[in-house]
Amino acid sequence: MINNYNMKKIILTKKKIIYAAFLSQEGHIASSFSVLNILNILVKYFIFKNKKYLNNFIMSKGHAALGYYAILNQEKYINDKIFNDFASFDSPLGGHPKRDLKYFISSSTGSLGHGFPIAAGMAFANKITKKKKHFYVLMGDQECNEGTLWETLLLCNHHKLNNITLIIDRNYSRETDLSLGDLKKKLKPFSNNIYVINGHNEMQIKKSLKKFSGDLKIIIANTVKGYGSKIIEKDNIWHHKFPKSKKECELLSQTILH
Amino acid sequence: MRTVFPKFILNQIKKDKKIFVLLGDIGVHSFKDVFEKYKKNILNVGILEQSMISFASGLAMENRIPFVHTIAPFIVNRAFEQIKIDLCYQNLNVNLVTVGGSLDYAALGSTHHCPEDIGILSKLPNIKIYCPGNQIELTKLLDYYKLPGPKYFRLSNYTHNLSINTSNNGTLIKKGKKGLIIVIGPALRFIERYYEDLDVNIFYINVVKPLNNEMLSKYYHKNIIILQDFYNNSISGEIVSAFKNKDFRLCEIGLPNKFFLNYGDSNLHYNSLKLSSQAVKKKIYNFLNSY
Repeated sequence: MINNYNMKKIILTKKKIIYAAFLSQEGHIASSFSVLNILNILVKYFIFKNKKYLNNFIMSKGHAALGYYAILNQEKYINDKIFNDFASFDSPLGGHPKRDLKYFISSSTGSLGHGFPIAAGMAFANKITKKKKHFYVLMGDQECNEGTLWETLLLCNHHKLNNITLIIDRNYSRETDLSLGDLKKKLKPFSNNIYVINGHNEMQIKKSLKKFSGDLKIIIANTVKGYGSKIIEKDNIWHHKFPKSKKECELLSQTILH
Repeated sequence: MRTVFPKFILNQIKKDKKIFVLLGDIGVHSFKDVFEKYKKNILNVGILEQSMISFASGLAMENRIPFVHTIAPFIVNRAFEQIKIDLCYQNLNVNLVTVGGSLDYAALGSTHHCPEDIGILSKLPNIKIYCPGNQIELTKLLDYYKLPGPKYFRLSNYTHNLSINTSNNGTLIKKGKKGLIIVIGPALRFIERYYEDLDVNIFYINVVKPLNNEMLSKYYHKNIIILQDFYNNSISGEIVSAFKNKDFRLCEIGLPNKFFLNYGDSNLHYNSLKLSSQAVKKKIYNFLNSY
């Protein structure tokens, strides 16, 4: 069992995710749980400064948007009403994020493989204007199927973009269908700055995000899809499934251990 | 037009350092001067069109004004989703400038043709589409690069020689009684030698999107011809919506919806497709006289 900063808080946030998914009959609970610790650390320490959003984060894994909104809600950047209205008709918070800096969303995502090259463009712009901003991209491991990852690795490599951190949520969700195998080995030619961490250990996440070197930083965060709930962890049907009743919400919530 | 674009960039960068040119490994030589004088404002990105469009959107988010330049099909077709989501959905100021739209690269085969660009791009919300008819019009249209939202500039090897005081809403270049011809950009070359003899209203547009339907509706006629240098039916839906609830006959003169499997000079293609100046004249008279 991992000793994280505030386990009780994260358990409560996961329960709120389940409830919001029930209310909206939308959202990707399992993927959100997979990246929740990473998002927790990003929001707490890396993408907000003095409560102000730095416009430096791209959720390339757009389907885990609910996880991002939940952490924003947990940290009081968005209120309960807006959070619980998730994916409703006139909500600013969609099933996939829609660019809206008022709600801390730098880029619209949802179709996989867009976030990293967009962030590379932002990082490049900051290089030429000599600004010191650092950019964070969170993508899924199966998103690595998209050719744009490899195209953008070439770009980052060639242009020495070291003001960008690529976090890959390695939850092995579709490893049997199209194997990525030894991901670190595949990424190694593009960066000498790769960290393989436990993506649910917040100390490790924070430490790896803090490290700095001359290369593009890549963090391979080993995670469990649906992390925290045994029911959601063991059945991939929860990829895009929601509790159908309040009772089911409660049952699912009770299964959350961490 | 291909020489006008790099010249425009060279002049404009002097005044506007926000400009950033991205080349998809095309036209690198013609931007030699820009590379020499303003190397911080230009990049030959490489042959990765999808990432290039997303990258451009990232530049725009951080307050740069990107111009992306390559051969039409390589971004319009290959990076269509990036254009849709990264540029149009987010409504970012990115300027796409392409060459080879229709048959300019006739001898290189269908992989290098893109007669569908206007048709498919015009279905995307937020984009502005410009089809300049010659170098002067191109220079004038490129001045819109600061306008918000994505823009598509379609550069062609073919131009017309008329000097038109163009307006964004379209320009009536000839008055007449027997019909309305809507001519788009370089397609004006087909009729430039005899257009004054035609007893029709000729309405010239080089801004394909947004179309000013209100303006267009003023020139309603029961005989309508659309003359274009891309696939027929590309924007007829948008045009005829200006004339809703009215009866009219429509004749489209442009490229037929097929792959052009021959090679050779593009003029040979236009001739074989009956899109020479004389053949177009015949089509116009046949249509106007067949009623």
